[in-house]
Amino acid sequence: MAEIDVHDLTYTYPLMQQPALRGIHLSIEKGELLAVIGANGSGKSTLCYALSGLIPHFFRGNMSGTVLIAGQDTQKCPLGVLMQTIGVTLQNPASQLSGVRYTVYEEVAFGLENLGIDPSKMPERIERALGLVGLSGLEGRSPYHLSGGQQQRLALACALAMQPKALVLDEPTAMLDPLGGQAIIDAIKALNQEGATVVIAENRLEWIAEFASRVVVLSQGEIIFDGSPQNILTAPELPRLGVGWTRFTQAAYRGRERGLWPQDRPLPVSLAQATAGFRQVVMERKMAHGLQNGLPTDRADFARSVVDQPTNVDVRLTDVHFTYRDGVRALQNVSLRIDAGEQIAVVGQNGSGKTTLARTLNALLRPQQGEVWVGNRCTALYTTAKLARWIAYMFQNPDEQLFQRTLWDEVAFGPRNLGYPAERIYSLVEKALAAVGLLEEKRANPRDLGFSGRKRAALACALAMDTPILALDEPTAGLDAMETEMLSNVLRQLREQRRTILVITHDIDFVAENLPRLVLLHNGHILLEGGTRNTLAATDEWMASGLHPPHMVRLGNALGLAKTYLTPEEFVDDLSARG
Amino acid sequence: MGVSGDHKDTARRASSDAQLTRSLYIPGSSWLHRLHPLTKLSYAASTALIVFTAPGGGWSAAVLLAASLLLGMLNGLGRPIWSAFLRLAALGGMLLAVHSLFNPANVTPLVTWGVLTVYREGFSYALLVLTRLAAALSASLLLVFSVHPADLMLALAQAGLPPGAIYLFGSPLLLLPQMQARAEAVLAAQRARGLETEGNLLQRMLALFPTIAPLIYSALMEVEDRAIALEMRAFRSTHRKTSLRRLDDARWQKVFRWAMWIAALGVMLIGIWWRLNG
Repeated sequence: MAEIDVHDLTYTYPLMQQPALRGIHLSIEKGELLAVIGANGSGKSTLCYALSGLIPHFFRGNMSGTVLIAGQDTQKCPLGVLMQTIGVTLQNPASQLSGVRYTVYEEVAFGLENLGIDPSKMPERIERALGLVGLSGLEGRSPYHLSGGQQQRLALACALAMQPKALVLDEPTAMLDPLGGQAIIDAIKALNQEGATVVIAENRLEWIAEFASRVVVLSQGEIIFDGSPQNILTAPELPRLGVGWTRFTQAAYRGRERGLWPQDRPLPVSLAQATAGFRQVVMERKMAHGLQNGLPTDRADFARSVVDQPTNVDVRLTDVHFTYRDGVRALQNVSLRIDAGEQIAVVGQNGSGKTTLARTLNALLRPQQGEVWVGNRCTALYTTAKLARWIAYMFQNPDEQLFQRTLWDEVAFGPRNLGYPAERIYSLVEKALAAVGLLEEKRANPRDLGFSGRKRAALACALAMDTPILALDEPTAGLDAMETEMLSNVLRQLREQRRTILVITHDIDFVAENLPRLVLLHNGHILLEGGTRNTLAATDEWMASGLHPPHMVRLGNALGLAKTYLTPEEFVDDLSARG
Repeated sequence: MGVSGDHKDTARRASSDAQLTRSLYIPGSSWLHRLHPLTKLSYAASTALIVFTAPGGGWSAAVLLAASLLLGMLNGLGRPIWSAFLRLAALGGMLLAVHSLFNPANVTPLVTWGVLTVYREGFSYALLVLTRLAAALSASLLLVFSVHPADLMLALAQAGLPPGAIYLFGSPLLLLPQMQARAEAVLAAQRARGLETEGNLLQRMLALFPTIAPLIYSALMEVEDRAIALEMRAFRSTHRKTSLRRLDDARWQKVFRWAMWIAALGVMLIGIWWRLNG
């Protein structure tokens, strides 16, 4: 008998007309690791809620069909009992904390206490669960003092301690930096190898390729593909569905068009497969043309050459030091110049000082030492609101700013504060909403949008300020492949308008493909700074920062190539040109 | 406060982090910190009851204020209590000024500066109210500074209160610091959108809605996540709940708590009788 058995499940949320899930049939065997993929709004989270019994017990709505977990019907079994059978984690690590326990150890114990477990049996369970997720040694820490990745692993440990038969994980890495996400993935792999049944909604395809035993694709609430990672992740329909392909699949697909990848060879989904497939081609061309010599023109140099200071605004930080009240030295001796019209990425691990740096630009934080200049204005002499005329800032969490009744008014809020005339406000708001694909939603309440919709609304708010400089904090977090492509288009338009852009991000593949200059921060210092390609080629510093280089750089390195490739197109074009 | 049972090692390890969840709690190991949370809760509640219902002037309030301040100083909490009073000094000054100048019962002039006259009746009344408030506040501060909300909730659970009611009572204490952090984030986001929050009174008033509304909306959105988190941890399970830790509750503390409650209720009854017949 299957561990989880779903038969003809259809579910509609309260007050909604269209079902969020339609006719789902799914049978998950013991020990399987099933990845659920799909664009934002395709029903991934809803399916997770249904598999965990939160539908129908927590989310009422209209449900038909059956969901059996270890033989228990979720409609008939109380949630308190179901939670002993199924462990669940959600996207946001912090909101999964009970809030009533003040150490990691006690947080794990909370669920056991609710189940009435004998206290003498708790330590063994707690220690085993913490060991499985790699949190041993942090038992006495406050859950609120853990990083996002550690909090997510703690949520997993809390679920594991209750000894469930299966785990349902709703995008557990969505809000984490790459290192935090990798730690979660490693923990999940280890659990699965111990025999746990796992269902995981996840959009990072490179990771799915690495660990899933089976993949289903959701679109508009329906399962449209179900099969092995190799078959599903290379399906030609995925880009159209907003899921996209791995960079390795993209490279091989283009390579196949150019005759570089054999027609009869399956497209790769992992680094190992891509390396094996391209190795022969590379060897032939290396021998014939000395491929390792000469780097392509750095796009940063290209960008600098075409920028002619159209807005006369640039950003200068001179010997900036910033220390928080709790003594954390977030920036030390940071000096940086961003020329007008440049587009620059700021990357680094959590706590490296990225956001602190960006917040000194508009005086949200004022450095204790050093100066920050925006054009010919020293930010120490201006309020943040005054600086908003020159620099717009998109915050990571859109929910910290949305408050108007309609999306149109929300986007108009900034331009109104800046005192722009009504005609200009109308034009700016309409253009900004169109750029992020939300023009048709302009009369909607912004809080009724999904997370990625609210994120795009926040981007529109920043765009409508019509400032020469924009700072975007984690703009790709929570976006699917199609929405990320939309963001790339917005950056392209801004580049044509010669706007100065600063992007703080963990998404190093996005940086490689979209931003010509890069600053790598580490412990409050600038570790590397320069053109993206040259910076990514500095392997030693990159390793020291603890970050992984982009996937195409890793492919190039795995193939032993001296070149630093930033996109699949570039990689294939270069191989092809040498042929 | 201590830990009993077979799980002392576990509990000691679990409590070893001095930097606990963000709350008003100030970590420490003083005699006051070690008291059972319910003892300190009883002290705070009975103080509030006594100072607002005791018959006569503000002598009982003054004595309890002095006792609380002394307790605070002896247990390393004098400075934070003083700091809290300083923050509220402007409010106290305003109360004193309004009553001294404009209380309807004002008859006897005390001091006159130009057109302003300070009256004895209003001044005395404001002083009484301030003493009462200070006494209740200082006793409450002793509680919140020396008891972690999680320990208070644990103590209430072990006293047999329903888990739902405890969560309702304890969660505001736990969520307050998080709300404060979020309020700072909202303020930063709206300033970055050109909202002037540092100008004159009118500008600050106009900035109120755009800063408060996102705070409330985002808190409401998080309520759902929080509720799901509790469900996932079998909070509504019908099993009889157990507890990893047990808080030591010495016999003398139980007796002391009963004594405080009896004294407070006695004072309250006398106060009611005195007001009806006085």
